Amino acid sequence: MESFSVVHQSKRRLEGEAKVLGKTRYADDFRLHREVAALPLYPAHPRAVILGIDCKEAESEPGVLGIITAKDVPGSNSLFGRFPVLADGEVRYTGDAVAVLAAETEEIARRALGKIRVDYKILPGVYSLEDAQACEISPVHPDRPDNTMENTFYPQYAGDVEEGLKRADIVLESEYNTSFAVNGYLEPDCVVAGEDSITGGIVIYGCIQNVYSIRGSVCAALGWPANKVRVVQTAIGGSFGGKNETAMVLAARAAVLHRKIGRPVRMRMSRSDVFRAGVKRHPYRFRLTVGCSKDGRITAWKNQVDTIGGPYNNQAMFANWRLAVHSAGPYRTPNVRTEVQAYYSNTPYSGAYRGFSAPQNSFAVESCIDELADAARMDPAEFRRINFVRPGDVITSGQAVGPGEMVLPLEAMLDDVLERGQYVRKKAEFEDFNARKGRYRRGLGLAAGYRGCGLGGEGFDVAGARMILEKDGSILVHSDMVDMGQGLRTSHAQVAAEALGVGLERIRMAETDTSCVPDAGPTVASRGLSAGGMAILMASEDLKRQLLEGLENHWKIPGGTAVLNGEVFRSADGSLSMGFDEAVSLLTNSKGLGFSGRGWFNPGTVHIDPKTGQGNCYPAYLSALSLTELEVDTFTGSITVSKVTLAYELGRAVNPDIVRGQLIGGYVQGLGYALSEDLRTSEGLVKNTSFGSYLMPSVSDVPEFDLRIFEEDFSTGPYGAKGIGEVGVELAAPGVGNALFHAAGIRMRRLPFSKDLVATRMLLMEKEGADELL
Amino acid sequence: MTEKIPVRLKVNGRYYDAAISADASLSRVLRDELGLMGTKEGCGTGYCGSCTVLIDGSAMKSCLVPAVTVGDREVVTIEGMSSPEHPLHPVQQAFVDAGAIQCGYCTPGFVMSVYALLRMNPKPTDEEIKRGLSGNICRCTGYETILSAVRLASERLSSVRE
Amino acid sequence: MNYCKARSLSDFFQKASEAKGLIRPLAGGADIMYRLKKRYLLSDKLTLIDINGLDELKGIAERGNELEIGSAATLSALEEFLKDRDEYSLLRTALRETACPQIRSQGTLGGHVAGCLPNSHLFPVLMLHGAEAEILESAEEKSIPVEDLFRGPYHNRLKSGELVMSLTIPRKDFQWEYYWGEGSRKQFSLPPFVLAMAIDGEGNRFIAGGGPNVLPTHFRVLESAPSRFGGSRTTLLNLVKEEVSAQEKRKNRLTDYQKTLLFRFTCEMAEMEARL
Repeated sequence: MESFSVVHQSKRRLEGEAKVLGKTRYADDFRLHREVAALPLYPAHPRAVILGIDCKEAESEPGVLGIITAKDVPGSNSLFGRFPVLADGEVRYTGDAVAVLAAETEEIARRALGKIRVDYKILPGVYSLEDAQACEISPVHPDRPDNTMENTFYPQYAGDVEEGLKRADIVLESEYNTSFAVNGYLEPDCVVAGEDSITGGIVIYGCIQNVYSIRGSVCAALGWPANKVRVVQTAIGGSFGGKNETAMVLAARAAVLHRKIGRPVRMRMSRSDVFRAGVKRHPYRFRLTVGCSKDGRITAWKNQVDTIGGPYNNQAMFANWRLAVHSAGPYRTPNVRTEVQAYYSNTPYSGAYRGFSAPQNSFAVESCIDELADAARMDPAEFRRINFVRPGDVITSGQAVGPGEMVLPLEAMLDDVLERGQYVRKKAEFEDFNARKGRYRRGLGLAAGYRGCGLGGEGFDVAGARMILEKDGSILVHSDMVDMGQGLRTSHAQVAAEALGVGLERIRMAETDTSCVPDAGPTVASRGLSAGGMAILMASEDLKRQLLEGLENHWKIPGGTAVLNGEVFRSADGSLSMGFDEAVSLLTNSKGLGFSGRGWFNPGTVHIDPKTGQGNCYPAYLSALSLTELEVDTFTGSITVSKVTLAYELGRAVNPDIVRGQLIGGYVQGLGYALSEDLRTSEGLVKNTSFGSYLMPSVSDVPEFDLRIFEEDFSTGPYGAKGIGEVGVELAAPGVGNALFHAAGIRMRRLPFSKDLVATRMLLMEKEGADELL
Repeated sequence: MTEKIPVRLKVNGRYYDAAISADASLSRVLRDELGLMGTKEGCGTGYCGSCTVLIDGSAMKSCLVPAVTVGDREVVTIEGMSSPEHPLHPVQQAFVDAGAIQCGYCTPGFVMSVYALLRMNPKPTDEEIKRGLSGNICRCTGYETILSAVRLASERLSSVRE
Repeated sequence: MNYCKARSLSDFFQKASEAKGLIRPLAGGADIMYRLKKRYLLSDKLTLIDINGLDELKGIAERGNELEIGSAATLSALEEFLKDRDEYSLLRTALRETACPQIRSQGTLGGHVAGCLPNSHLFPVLMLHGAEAEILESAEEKSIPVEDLFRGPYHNRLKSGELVMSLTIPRKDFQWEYYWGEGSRKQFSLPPFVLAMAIDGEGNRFIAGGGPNVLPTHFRVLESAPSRFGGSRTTLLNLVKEEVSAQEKRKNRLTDYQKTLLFRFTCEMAEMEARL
């Protein structure tokens, strides 16, 4: 392994002190001069025709400054994915806005909002996957009569699945369902639109995950070019994929309203509105027919996957592509037939939430693998071991496993996890314990997975960075990738310092601003470091080369011979040397030179056949493995996850503490998805609209973790980093489900695992005469 | 429009005269009237704990506290935890050192809760820490580092006392 | 919305008699703020009378075999009072499960019982103890069992201007007790069912429970000689079953989960009883 001086070390977060002092300014923590509050009028019905809107009474309220409806949108009222800025003619879900009203204070705005009269003709809505597929209700969009979303059908075909099923000794059919889930970032969405005091254009401030796409949307809504709109990201209080479409429509509404009334407009969402209007994780349904031989070798994997995505589609095309590629797991499965399809619905929209489609897919695949192991009467660990792909194999999309991007050391990781988790001993102990048929049962559950890094076939995985050297030796770095709390700025700064050969304290990471770095796409798909860090690395090398050239000219030594290490420049023979500050001062003050570095990373395109889902789909893959230990109270269905042993292969941990924080934090989100986060909708309405009914894990729900990171010297990202923002969330649900089966003999095929179902099923299973009371 | 009630608030040792409507929460008054933006509002209905402040030494969720009721009481917010002589309170230092910060939105509320917990119980067991922090939600960290931060702060504060 | 401060109890009743519309005493304010924010309570015709200055409502004292707790005492003050005691352990457990530390520091016992939360952690325990609420209206004082405060979920029977003065909780020496009240998350989550059960020194068996759809109810209080019921599991189960059907006749349908919990814990109780 190479030796490093700044990366591969747990440096403290650059912004940690500001955050712990409460000094960090999030989107709602500053005020613009003469700003006003704006609130949207959400529809009273999830699906209805708007017959008329009467704003007169509301407009005449003292303190009301203006109201906009669809007719006020000067540019396009249809943003990316068909999201309207304001509902035009028809409302299609509870988060559409019929009007937006601005007033001197939020209190006045709220009062006045109630005075806007809207006439609706209520329409029957498409409220479930079954509704969408049945086509008995008028389609969500007339141009999609079967409700299918455009560009969301993705297959993966390999071998001949019917032949594979024929050859199987054991065939299993199983259906798994997942629910809507919310990102649950603690900072509610907030955007401010004001005048750019220099250009007269617009500047948007907000907690926005993808500043460039939001700039594009604001431009589209106003009919303006990009040079008149600037988007500045404030500190973000969590996003996990969520501050995208909602932020997009907020920004467009605020911009249109700002242009109409001439004062800065703040749009701040309440928590309940975030629940009603904000993004949800896709609720996929998996129908699996799988087969294996008597000795446990998988012969066929047939997987029909469907989901609803709400009335607009920003993300299903990407989520479904990712799902199709990973739909058979990291196993040697010669015959695969997966088809993934998304449908329009009049429900909240589905979009990006950490993991994208992977947490759902991992739940289905890894539960099914355990069911197959059970059917084959094999230990789930051994079943996985004989089926894992290994060097020389191809994964189900045809990419070859080998050193570099496709290391997949799953077998080694399995051995490690079984050993650290004391699998054999505990399994025997737990089974003895459970044989006593007491109130509590204990179980162990495995889950494994792999994850394509970056966008892969979802889009160009490009990234940009720029850096400026100040005369005092400070270095200002601009990246197009945003820090939402994951620690990206710190990791980026470490990469910059390492690549330049200087200390971390010289680096200052700038705020994200569309006017500083070209648009290189969104900070998604765990690519902030893997792609964004490459751009930083390239910019650092660019800057360093300029500095070395300057000094080589000064020393009159041949080009390409000087080096910079540990803040000291040296000639090749070591006879000449100069400290960093001195050299920078010499080159800038005495010679009048200026230095800035530029990096643009473009890994090229991936190759995939859209008709079969075969090809090199992602530039690199991570591997993940977990062993979950839990105790279930069979009386109450209460599940206590006590310990989780984790292993991840992730290339290189640029900052091990930050990596651990991402993996553990992700896992705990996954535990919420498995156990307590149950977003319910009824007829298109969200039933739980607060953190009091949508229960995210609190500190007492957290188990003990034993995490080991596997590193590899060779990979595509900066210093070998692969990108770990999402993978942590994937294994929790299947791990808990499998452990629950081991503990109590109940297979739960729907998320989340509700206590009441566990308790009532246990009672029916075990107690004779339970109907005495039931 | 509801009538405004004159209230003299004492926040971080300083007095402020404010005119407050009876239904105004302390968090809104701290943020909108006094400009103390360190106190966050994640839900506004008492579930997330981001708005936790100290009132007469006890941690409370300022989004549920009617500001009119704190007139003769002592309020401390995250801005009052440090001073020029002590740029970081030991609890804050422990959060930084343990890496217990990600997006940071819940952090001020956690710091206030931990302060109140350790004031009542300087050497809490893990179980007591968990009970003490059950009113604060963090979506980023998975709590592992927050627990380490509390243990660290407890150790450091008790070694100072001893 | 109107707001005023009560300088004394008589001042409270004076102001209450003068105010128009809805009157609410304001102590900690957590419940009122929550309801205002959720628009369960509308500010338009509301008068809040601040009782924070009334120290006579804040006391906690043990008098003989009873706890007497002023309605403006906070939940955490009661928690602190009971901290190092062996008695009232069910109450301690239920207090610890109620909301979270911040809300317990702010919220008062009076506010909690007047809030009539159907799945409150405290009510079933208060019922096992036979707790009573002292209610004052001007000069008239009355005492009612706490469960009688319920008119429905989140609705109490108090008339506008009536004030809960204090709660009296008789001490009980249980030889066996059990408490269940977990939501979908381990802490700070409202449970689908709260159950408190106990067997006292004379062998009387108590079961009380409540949930979002079932107001806190005595599923069984057997004050008479236990021998009459023989202590057999079937008998006990039948008694609980009777109460369940009585509830259902009142349109309080228990969920399968609630019935499962009742069944499981009643069996446990019978088993414990056999051993005692």
